[in-house]
Amino acid sequence: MKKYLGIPVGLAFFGFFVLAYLALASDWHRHKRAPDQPIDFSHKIHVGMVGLECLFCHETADKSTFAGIPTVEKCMSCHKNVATNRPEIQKLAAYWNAQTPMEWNRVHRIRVRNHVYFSHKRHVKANIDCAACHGEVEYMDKIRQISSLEMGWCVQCHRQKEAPTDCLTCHR
Amino acid sequence: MEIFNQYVLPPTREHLELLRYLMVLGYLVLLPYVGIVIGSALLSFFLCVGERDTSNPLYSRVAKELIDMAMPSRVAVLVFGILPLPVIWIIHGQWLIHSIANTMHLLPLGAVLVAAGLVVLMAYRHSLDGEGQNSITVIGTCGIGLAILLLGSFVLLGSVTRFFDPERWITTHHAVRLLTSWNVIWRYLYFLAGALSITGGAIIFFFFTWPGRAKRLSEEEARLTKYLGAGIAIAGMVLFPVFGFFYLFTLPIVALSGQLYWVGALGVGVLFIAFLYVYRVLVGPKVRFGAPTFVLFVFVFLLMIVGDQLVLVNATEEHIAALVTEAEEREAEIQLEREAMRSAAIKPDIVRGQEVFNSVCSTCHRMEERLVGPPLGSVLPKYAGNMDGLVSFIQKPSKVNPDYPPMPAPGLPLVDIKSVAAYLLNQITPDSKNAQGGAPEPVDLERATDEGEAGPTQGELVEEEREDTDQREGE
Repeated sequence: MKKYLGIPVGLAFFGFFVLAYLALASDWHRHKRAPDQPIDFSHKIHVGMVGLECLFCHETADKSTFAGIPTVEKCMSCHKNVATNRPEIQKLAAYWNAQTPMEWNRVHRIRVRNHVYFSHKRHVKANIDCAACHGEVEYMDKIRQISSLEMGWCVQCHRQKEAPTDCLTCHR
Repeated sequence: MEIFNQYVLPPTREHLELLRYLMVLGYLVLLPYVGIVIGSALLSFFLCVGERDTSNPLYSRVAKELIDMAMPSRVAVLVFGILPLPVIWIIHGQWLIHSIANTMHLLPLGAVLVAAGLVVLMAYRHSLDGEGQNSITVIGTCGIGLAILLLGSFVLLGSVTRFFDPERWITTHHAVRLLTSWNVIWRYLYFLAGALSITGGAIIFFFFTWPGRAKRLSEEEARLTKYLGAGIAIAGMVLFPVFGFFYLFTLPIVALSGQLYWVGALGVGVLFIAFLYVYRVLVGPKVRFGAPTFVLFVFVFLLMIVGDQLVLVNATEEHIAALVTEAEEREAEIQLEREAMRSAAIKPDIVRGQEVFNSVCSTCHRMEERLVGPPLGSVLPKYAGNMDGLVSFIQKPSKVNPDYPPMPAPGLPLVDIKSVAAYLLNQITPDSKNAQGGAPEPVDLERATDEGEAGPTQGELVEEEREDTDQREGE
């Protein structure tokens, strides 16, 4: 009987790892997958094909710490007329008619955000290309996080650009 | 990288799809083979050392058998070990063309080292044929060959693993720092565990079930190889999922997808079946099922390689989209050039122009009213008599007034664009005639299509537009 002891041991060992991989899969779905949004907005169409500037919709990126998400009104300034027959635009119009804001899901998140001060305005003023952190959104149908937004990543760029690397620059 | 950027056209989607399959094929030949050579050379090395200590000729016989199995002939080494190297380099170069992937120069270094390691091990194999098999020179050759091969495969796999992390293409430049991240190290250990297990599988297959080979083995040889094979296979199989787990865990977010973990879980499942076979070899009286065991290990490698493909595709998604767009734009340009060559023959049709205007342009433009774009009544007059200017603007719109969102290129065939331009100019010209009291008359289309005759040339027009923009911005 001792001879066959290896089989249950092997089953337990490999079974554990199958479960561990599946656990990683579920973690990915909960934490790392690009979130679904109330409408399938495509940056590929708006930036890549139409050629809108980032600041056209994210109006406060050069004025505030937050880049700002466009209001439904902003969307409707074009979509009252453009592509009104598409289902996603009809969803948008429904928000407009009901006069309710659209609840977008957050894509970019600094993990320990309560301890980090980050300002879009500073970075836009310093002529940092939006794509340096957000990637080439003009090729993204569904927006996803490209950079890790981890401290080491921030600091490396700060060093390269000779930006301040004092702790208090970000942790205040 | 420069070499590729200079000589290669942007690949199309179909081309990239084909490259993916070629990449899987190239790796499927190279990685299991290099794995088997590493595992066999490692065992062979220790057996030679053992023979020196114990003077047991059995060890050196098995040491030779093992390296013979891994490197049966020069042709085999060339086909399985060396030819896939440039193929893989070229495919990665194509895949990452125009990108700033910063380990592209390390990849050929790794490839050269792998090839050099294989050549040195081949010399070791030949030196075993002669006398004095256990001399320091022979053992040294094996050790050096193995070391070069390990270093080469580390650099090769490390630089490929770096392609999965675009974030560090910008931030990290030093070769040592590039190759010493945890992700690269786990990836390499993951491969080494796979190498050990597939070597074990190969020993079970080639020593015991390969036709004609089993008979040559003496009883003690068979015993030793059986335990070596099954032992190294089980050691590799135990380490494989552990290192694989850490590798997946340390991958950057951009490289991840749900499928990847499923492939990983499937790989561990297949490994368990292989484990049952190997375990049977270990405890059973007779070695059986060598072929399916080996095939299962190759399948595990295949899954590992497919996983790498998924990772590469995820990590370079935007880069690939950019390449495909570039190829499409190139194609569209060629199309435009062709149309331009026939341009003189294309006659605008005002009725058709009206249809196109109503179905496409009217979404954003009215004559007297601001919708998304400016009212045409205010912008058209500057094109009066300059149909070519209007046609080229519609083909490739540029932003004139910052108060409006940019106009996208409509992507219409030239005949439609010309027709709509003719229709629009016809809309404004009759008005001016009306003002003079004359009957509305269409513009002279023949004249308008002839280059340079009517109004300012295209270049002048662009200048005019620029001034226009500058003025507005100044305001």
